[in-house]
Formats: sequence, structure tokens, C-alpha cells
Amino acid sequence: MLGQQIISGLAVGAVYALVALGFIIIYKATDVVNFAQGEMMMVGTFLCLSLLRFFGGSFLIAVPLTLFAAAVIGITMERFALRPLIGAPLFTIVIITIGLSMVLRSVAGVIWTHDIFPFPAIFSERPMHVFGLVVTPLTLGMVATAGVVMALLYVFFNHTRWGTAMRAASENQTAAILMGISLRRVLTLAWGISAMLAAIAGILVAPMTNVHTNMGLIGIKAFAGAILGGFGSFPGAVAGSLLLGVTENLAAGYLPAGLRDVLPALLILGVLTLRPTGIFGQRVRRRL
Amino acid sequence: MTPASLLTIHDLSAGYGAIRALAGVSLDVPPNRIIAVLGANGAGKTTLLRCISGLVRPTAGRMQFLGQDLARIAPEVIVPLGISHVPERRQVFPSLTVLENLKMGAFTRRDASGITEDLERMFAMFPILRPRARQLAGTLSGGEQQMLAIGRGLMARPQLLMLDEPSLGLAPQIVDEIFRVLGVLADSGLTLMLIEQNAAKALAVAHHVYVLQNGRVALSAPAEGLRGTTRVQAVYLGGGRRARAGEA
Repeated sequence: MLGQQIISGLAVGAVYALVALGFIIIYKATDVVNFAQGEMMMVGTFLCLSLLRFFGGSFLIAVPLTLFAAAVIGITMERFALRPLIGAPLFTIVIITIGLSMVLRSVAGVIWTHDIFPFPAIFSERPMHVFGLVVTPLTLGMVATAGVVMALLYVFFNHTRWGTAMRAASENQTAAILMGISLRRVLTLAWGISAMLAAIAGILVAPMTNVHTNMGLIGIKAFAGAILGGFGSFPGAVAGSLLLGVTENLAAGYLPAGLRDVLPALLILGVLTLRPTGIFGQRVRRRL
Repeated sequence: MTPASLLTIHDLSAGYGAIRALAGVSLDVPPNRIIAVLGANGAGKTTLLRCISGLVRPTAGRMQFLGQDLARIAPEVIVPLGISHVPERRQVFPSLTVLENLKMGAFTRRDASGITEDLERMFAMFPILRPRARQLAGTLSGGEQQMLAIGRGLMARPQLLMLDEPSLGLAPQIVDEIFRVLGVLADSGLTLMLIEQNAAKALAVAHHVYVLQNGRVALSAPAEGLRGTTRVQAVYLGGGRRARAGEA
């Protein structure tokens, strides 16, 4: 029982982690927390549902098309809603992202209605026995997919020219410009990648949560996971999100109904009280 | 001096909001020369470099590099033209490794084998960086960071290397080492444009000196005649070492 709770907690946590990484990629590129991240996930999931219907349920066709469309939407949002605000106070920009989340929710409501739709699972939901635990391929698939995506991100940011350039730009924009790195291109990449991460997360989690216009609230959990891990740190976002997912699941399994939703909040409060910078957070250090 | 100019600047003005940092600067950078730009804090030296590298858009005037107009083009286009700017206070990327920093210097280049060769050249030129290649740049000492910043600037294979106060805050032996390398670079045919507070050091290596004062060229002269005199220091630099605050 405990083992199963932990595994399904990790699966949900892995989904939070993908959304959390999207938060951080945009934050590192722009210093802005994109509060539309959860809604980008919701729209991506709806898109995938429509594409699945259109292509007779083929994930092989629907998923790549969804990722492409999600990237286009993310890039468009950056280009037309946020880029004109470069140089504006951060607070203004953050408010704009909240506005964007509302726009995405209403537009999704107009296109897909505010009803709740079941979403087909990309991996089977038939339980099987692994090392004495009853798990579903879906749960394992969620963890594995998130793992593969994270590995790809790691390789991108550490071993490619543009990935390294994005890290450089997040450290010092002026110096990055002097290297000939186009900051506009960095922003485009950040928003495109974040939107794709959100869409993948939605596709993975939707069989459990269904698809609906309020699905973006998962973004708040992912944001909490990212803060728990130390906002701005990639490994921190993953660790914090996994910890949050597992805690939530254990609370749901073992605690009376009234306490279930409180435990994750207590966890965040506790960690941040003891370590205000989060689990992996670094003190801001600067050396001249 | 030499026939054609690498960089010519004519009547350049620039500012930040209401503050006018450059008020009609004209200068000429011939190839294979070291040009020193001296001046007190706030004289407009840094702004001049920032205009050339495209960080600041001038409000008036012309800049031509190898016949190409620079005034309206983006930094990502200016770097591959052959201008590299080593910014004030070094500004290496602290949580990138030394090797990654150097590779970022070559960001606009696509010739992988040439980049590998140049990395080797940088490690030969600054041997102290070689054992630190995998170390994060933020863990280097100030002098090592300055060498890394220069190496990073050279990785773009520039024709003109602009340095903003490479000696700032460094111990005298390290300053000597950095100026020795700048001399070697100039001998190899690179053109250097050097901003310095350390007027004596700059005069020792430079061929030609421009002194900026309140955003204008107050003096343009061959460096030889000014060496060993304290005239530049006394007349134009406001008595040398003052607290650095808000350099524009």
C-alpha cells in the first residue's frame, strides 16, 4: 500500500515537475513568473484531445502536432503580449501573464466549453504486478516520460550551443548580447520549450484529472513545487515537485479528509521556514 | 599614420534619458594599432564602446567599420563583422565553466575546427585557465576572470578588440601580465581599443591616445609625446584615483 502510494505520488509529482521546469525556464530567461503556465497546459491538453478525435485516436500523430501547436501558441504569446513590455516593471509583466491565463481560459471555454471531458490514457491503465507492487503502465509511463524529457532538457542546456547561450543570457544579459546572442531568440526558445513541457504534462496527467478549463490550477501546485525546491534551480524544481506529489498522495491515503489538503501546504510552510531559499536554493552570491 | 581606417567615428552623440554622455565624438582607429581612450569617470568612455558594440543606440553621428555603417545594426550582427567588446568589470558568466565561457565567445562562429584551435590558443596564451577549464568561472580570482574575459572576447576572432578597464581592481603583477598579453596581441596584428584609468600603463602600450572630457574629445595625440609626463593625468583625468561611482 505504502509503496503504491509513493509510486503514484511520484507520477503526479513528475507531472508537476514538467510544469515547474517550464516556470523556471521562462523565469531564468526573463525574470518573470509566467502565471499562465497552467493554462498553457490546459490548452495543450484540449488541443491534443481534439487532434486525437480528428486522427482516430492516434497519439503518434496527435502528440507531435500538439507539441508543435503548443510551441506556436507559447511563442505567439511572448511575441505579442510580452515583448512589447520589455523594460516595463516586472510587476506589470506578471500581471499581464495573469491576464493571459484568463484569456486562455475563456478562449478554451468558447472553443471546447466548460464541460469536463475524459482523456484517453497514452499508456495502459490495466494494473500489473511489479516487484510485489500493483502499478499501472500509465503511472510508470508518466515517471519514465518525465524522466526522458528531463534528460533531454539536461542535454540541451548543458551540451548545445543555444542551451548554453540561454544559461549565459540568464546570468548576464549584457554580456550575452556582447557574445552576439540574440535575446529575442532566447525568449522565443524559452516560451516555446515551456509551452511544450506544459502540453506534455497535461497529456500525461489528463487521464487522471480529465480535461476541463480549470485544469490549469495544477500550475499552482507546480509553482509550489518549484518554490519548495528553491525557485530558479532545475534539480530543485524536480525534487520539490516530486516531494509535493508524494506528500499529497500519502495524505490522501492516510489522513482524514479534512487534513488531506492541508498537509502539502504545511510541508511548504515547514520547508520554507527552515530553509527560506528552498531545498536546493542558493543564496544570492555575487563576486566582483 | 596608416592608410585606411578600420573604424571611423564621426560626430557621435549618445545619452541615457536626459543625460548626454557623448556630445559629438569623432575618432579614427587605424588597423594594427593600439588606441587608448582616457578620461575621468563619466567622461563617456564606456558609452563610446557601448555605441560601437551596439548596446547603446547613438542619437546622432556615424560609425563605420571596414566601410560598413554600424549605427543601426544589432550586436549579433556587429560581432561577426569583427568587433569584440570585453566589458567593464569583466562580466564573465559565473555559473558557466571556463570552457563554456570561452565557447560563448565564439557563439556567432560555426567553424567547429577553428573554434577548437582557438580554444587551444587561449589556453596557451593564458596557461592558468587550462587546469581550470571545467571550473565555474565564478570561482576564479579577479585576475583569472579578466584573462577569461579577454580570452572570451578573442574567441570571436575579432579584428578590433575593445577593452573596458582591463586593469580595474587587479594586483600590479597581474596588470603587468595582462598588458604583456595585450602587447603580444597587438604584435600579432590585432587592433585594440583600450579604455583605462591607469593612464601610465595605457600610454606605455598605446600608439595613439584620445582623451575624453564631458563627452567630447579633449585631446588626440600620439602616445609617445605624452609618456613620462604627468600632463595627461593632471589636466584631463581629474587627479587620477577618485572613487568610482556611476561610470556612464
